[in-house]
Amino acid sequence: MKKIVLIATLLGSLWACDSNVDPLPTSASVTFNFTHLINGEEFDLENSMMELPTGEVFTPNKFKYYISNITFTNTSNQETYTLEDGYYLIDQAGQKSFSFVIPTAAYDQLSFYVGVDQERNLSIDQVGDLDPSNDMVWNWNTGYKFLVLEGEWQYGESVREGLIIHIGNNDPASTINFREITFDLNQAAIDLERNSEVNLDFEAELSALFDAPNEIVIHELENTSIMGGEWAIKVAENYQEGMFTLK
Amino acid sequence: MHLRIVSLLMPVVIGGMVCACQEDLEQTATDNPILKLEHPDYFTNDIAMPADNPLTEKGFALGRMLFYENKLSLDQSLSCASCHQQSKAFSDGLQFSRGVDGQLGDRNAMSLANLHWTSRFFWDGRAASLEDQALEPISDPREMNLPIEEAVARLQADEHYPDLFQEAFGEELITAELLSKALSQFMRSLVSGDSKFDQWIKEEVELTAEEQLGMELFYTHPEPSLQIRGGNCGDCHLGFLTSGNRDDLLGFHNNGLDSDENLAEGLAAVTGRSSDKGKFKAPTLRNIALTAPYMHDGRFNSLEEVLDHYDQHVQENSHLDLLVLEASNEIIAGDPEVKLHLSASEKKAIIAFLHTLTDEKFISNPKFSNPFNQ
Repeated sequence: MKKIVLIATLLGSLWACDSNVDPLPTSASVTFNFTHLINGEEFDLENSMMELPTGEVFTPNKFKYYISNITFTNTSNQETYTLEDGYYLIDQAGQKSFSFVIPTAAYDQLSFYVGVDQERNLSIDQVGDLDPSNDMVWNWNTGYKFLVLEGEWQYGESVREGLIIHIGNNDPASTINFREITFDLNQAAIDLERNSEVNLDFEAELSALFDAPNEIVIHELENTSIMGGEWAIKVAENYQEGMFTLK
Repeated sequence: MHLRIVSLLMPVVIGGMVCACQEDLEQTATDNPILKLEHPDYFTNDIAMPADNPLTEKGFALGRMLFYENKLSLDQSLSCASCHQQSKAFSDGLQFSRGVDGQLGDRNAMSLANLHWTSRFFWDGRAASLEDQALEPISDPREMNLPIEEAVARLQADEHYPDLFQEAFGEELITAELLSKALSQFMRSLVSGDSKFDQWIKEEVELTAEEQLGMELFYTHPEPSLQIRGGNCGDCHLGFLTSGNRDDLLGFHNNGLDSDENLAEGLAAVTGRSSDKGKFKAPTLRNIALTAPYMHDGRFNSLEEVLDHYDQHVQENSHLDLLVLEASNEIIAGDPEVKLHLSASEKKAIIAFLHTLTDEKFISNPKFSNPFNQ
């Protein structure tokens, strides 16, 4: 079935080249822009230090995550539009914005997931920014890392230590860390009914990963590699709750 | 696994359709057809060829001759292939290679495979593209020791090369740039993607239990609090390609070969950043069983020595990669040493997996062999 759909899509796109069909007149080009902050300030990798709420001094040197399953909803009539095959890697050291086109409508809600859905996560298809040879691939059976934060931290006089946060699903059967984040478009004064070009500016606040609802005290962790288990779930809850804001 | 295979087949179907159309166009357009770089579908497939150096049939054939051409060394005793021998996956088996007059270099000759999927060349990353890399060994006094102008003059004076450059690039006047382009086309074509590991990915063969264990350890970062054991290799040698990160300089790592006082400059010599000290390119591990000795300075003679390094002998230094620093299979309170704590049988399993990366067809492919021997 999947094959048929894909081939049909492909043929469709080949035919499209030959014909003069106009694009949907009621479409909007939507651009997502991400800015990454530490305690409210934009940061550079390896040059920025943050003091965590629990007193550690932390210097990030890698911060990246997948955004997928972007969905626009009109909550009054339940009309929705989900972007097919939209898998975007946002990287403090690389891509921080992307664009796509949607049919316009009176959407008042936006949601996306941090991470990769189960079906794509267990396949090796190169769709969007998914690539089975990039550095977001996790251990063999588990699929992709959804969010990566790596950096160095010190607490008081302690020696240089690393914090490695790699959040994916804790095991192949689980989807526990695949988290949906929802935004109110009306509140952000985003009108996707009348505009053909719309910019959505998101801020992601790093300190929120350590903050709420779960306080994560790095210097008290038995092991400062967080790659699964209950700590990964706590980090995922934190990025779902407090990390992203739509300006 | 089943899911993987379904998805694996689809690009073949689609690829076949797209190809068929392209071929018709190209055959009528030129007598030097564009070549499609053949590679497994699961290698990253959206990496463009350099716009100013597309892969062509004649460019590849010329590059192959130049790769094996002794005229490109001062005394006509050496070619690129002297230190990059096909039988050794285009490495030479020596700690340091010998150039013209027996001059000794200070780096281990790198294996050449899957170069289209890597960025930055040489162990210290000083060349930003394959085209930038290709001429350096010719003029390096410790290698082929032939000034590039002299190399170009020799080719121009040759009976055959001006015609071959004309066919490949439409220009009879040979330049250093065209020389580098032709060599790059040949090197870029050296795709290794038919090892036992590849056959396993395509579900054509089974791995032994030991190889399977080794593969799982290879791709796993250890997490002792969750009883997850790992060899921590895949953090730097990524995915199916087992190559370093392709993003500019992110595929360079300080893997704890030396303590601060003995740390080589590595990438820092190129970037000027002290934090890059001791970083070297994470090479592809494809055909790694054929390319001893190991590391930028060829200090380890065997894969066993390499595994022992990562397991027991990592030297802590100021810029040791965090993924090496924070990797252990045991939680040992207050233990300041960086050790993986793998068992002997786990190390053996990883080495068994590394042997599945050997691609016999690659090292015997006649398309990559010395054209002057035929």
